[in-house]
Amino acid sequence: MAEVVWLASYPKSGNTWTRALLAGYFGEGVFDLNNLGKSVQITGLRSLDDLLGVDTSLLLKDEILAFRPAASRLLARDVAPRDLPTFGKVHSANVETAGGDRVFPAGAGRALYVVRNPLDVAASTAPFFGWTVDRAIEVLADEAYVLNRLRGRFLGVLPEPLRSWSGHVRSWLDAPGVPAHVVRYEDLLVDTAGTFAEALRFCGVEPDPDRVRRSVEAARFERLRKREAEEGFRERPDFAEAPFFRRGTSGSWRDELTPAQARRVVADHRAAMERLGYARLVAEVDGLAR
Amino acid sequence: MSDAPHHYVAYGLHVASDWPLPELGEAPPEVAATAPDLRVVRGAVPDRIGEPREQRVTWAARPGAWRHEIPGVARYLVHDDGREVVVEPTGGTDADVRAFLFGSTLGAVLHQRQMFVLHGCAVATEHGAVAVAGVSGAGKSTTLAELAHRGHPVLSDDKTVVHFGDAGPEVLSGYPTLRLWEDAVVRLGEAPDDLAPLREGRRKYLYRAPAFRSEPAPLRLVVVLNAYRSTASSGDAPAIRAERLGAHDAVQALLLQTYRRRMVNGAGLQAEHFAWTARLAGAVPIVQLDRPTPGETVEAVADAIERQLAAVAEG
Repeated sequence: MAEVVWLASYPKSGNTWTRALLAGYFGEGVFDLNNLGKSVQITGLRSLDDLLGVDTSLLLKDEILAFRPAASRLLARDVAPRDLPTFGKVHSANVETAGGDRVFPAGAGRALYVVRNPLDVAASTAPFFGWTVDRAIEVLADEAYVLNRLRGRFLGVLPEPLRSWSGHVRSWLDAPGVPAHVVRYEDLLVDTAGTFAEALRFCGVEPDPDRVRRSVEAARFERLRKREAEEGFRERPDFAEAPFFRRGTSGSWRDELTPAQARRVVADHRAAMERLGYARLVAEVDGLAR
Repeated sequence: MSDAPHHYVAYGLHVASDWPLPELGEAPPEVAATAPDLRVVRGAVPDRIGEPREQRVTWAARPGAWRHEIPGVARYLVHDDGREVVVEPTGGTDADVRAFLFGSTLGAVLHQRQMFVLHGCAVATEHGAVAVAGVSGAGKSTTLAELAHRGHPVLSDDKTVVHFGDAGPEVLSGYPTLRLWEDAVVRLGEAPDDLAPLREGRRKYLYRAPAFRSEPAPLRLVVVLNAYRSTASSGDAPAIRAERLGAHDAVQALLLQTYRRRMVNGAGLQAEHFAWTARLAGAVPIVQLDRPTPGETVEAVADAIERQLAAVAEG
C-alpha cells in the first residue's frame, strides 16, 4: 500500500531541490527539470480539479479551502494501490478549515517538512517575489498571508495560506495524526546523501546507496542552475527578478540583511528557530553589534 | 424565477428549463413546441445514488445516475439517460447555480447520453470546423476568443461534442457564450464591468460570441494546445511548434483531452469511448501545437491554426 507524502515547505526553502533528488533517485539519475513528476508521482495543486471533479476556476477561496481536506483523503485513497509513494508538493500551511478539519488531515499521509532558516528565507524570497528585504520580513511575520491570491487570469496554482514562517512550522509539526520528518536545507547542504537517505526511509523507501549517489550528483545546485539557464524552469514566475536557482548556499543573509533586519527576523521567530535547531544562529544575531 | 419552462437549444438538443438560462440559444418556436430532449427541473436531490462506480469530492456516478454537490450553492442529479437534470439550490444565487450547471453537470449530461466530449472549444471556418483541446491553462478560451474575433463563428466552448454522421465526424453546435478570464476580456477590448461574472468574487466572465453557428459543421482538424516554458530572450519571435501526431499518440491525446474522463468510467462507457477515440484519430488529423510562455502568443497560435486548416483543406 502506497502513501501520500506531502512535500511541505515555506517557499524558497529547498522544496524543488528535494523534488529533484526524488526525481533523480526514481529516474536512475536522469530527470526532466520541467517535469519533475515524470519518474515518480509528484502532484501539484493542479490535480485538485480532478480530485474535486469541478473546475477550480469556478470556486471561491473559502470553497477551495473547505474542499481541501476531502481532496487530501481522496488522493490518499486514489494512490493506495500503487507501489511507490506519491509526493504532493505544497507550500500551504496545514491550516484548520472552518469545519474544524485540517487541510492535510490525519490518516491522509505523512509530511516531509523541508525547512530553511528564516534569515536566508527572507534573503531568498525578496528577489524571487520582487520584494524588498523589509517586505519579505513583513510577509514572514504575517499570519494572514496567502500565496497565489486569485486573479483575473489562469494561474495554474491555487491560493495557499502560508501563515507566518513560525505559524507554518507549527501548523505542520503539530498537526495531529500527520507524522512529519524535518529536512533542514542546511543539513542537505552539508550531507546531501545522508540527509536524503533518511528522508527516503521516512517515506518507506529503503535507500539504494548507488541511486542516492547518482541522484545527489544529478541534483547538484550548479547543475540545476546550469540547466535553468539552458532549458528554462517552468516554475520560475514571470515576475521573478533573479534566476530560480540563485545562490544555493546557507548564510547569505549575512551579506543581504542588515543587523537590524536580522534582529527583526529573530524577534519574530525565535521560538520556532530554536525548536528546529537554529539556536546558534539566534545567538549569533543576538550578538550582532548595534 | 417563473415556473413556465424556458426553451433552448444546445448540442442539437431541445432543452426545457424551469430557469431562464441566458447562456443558451433560444429555441425556435417549432422546436419549442416539440417534446424536450433534456429537462432542467427544480426538485429534491437525494443524498446518495446507491453504489457509485466512480467518485470525486463533489460527485458520484454509476451507469444512469450522476450526483453533484457544491455545499452552499446547489445539488444536481443527472439521470434518465441524460434526459433530466434535477437541481436543488441550497443557498447559491442563480448565477452560482448556472456556473456549475454549465460546468461538470452539463458534461455529465453529454456523457450519459453517450455523446463523447472533448475538453476544448471549436469554431467553424471556410475549411470546416477545428476543435482546440488542451489542459486547463493551455489557452483554449483565449484562442477561441481570438478566432471568433477574426470572424470564425463559434461552435462550442469548454465542451466540444464530436458526432459521427453519415458524412464523417462533425462538431455539434453548443451555445453562444464563452467563459473568459479577465485578461482575455481586456485583450478583446471589452470592459469586464460590462459583463456578468460567472460568480461574484471571481474574475471570470460570460462573453457572448460575436458570431455563432447554430448548425453542426464537418470536423477537419483537432488541435491539442500545449504551453511550454520558453528560454528564448524577449524580442525573439515566439516559436510555435506544430506536430501531426501518429495514430498511437493521437489516440492517447484524445483520451487525455476527453472532458473529465472519469465520468466515462462512472457511466460505464469505457469501451464505447475508446472505440470513438480510435475512430476520430483515424478520421481527422490530430495536431499538437506548442506555444511558448511567457509571451503574447494568441495571434501566432490563431495564425498557426488557420495555416494548419488551409493545409488540410488542400489535402
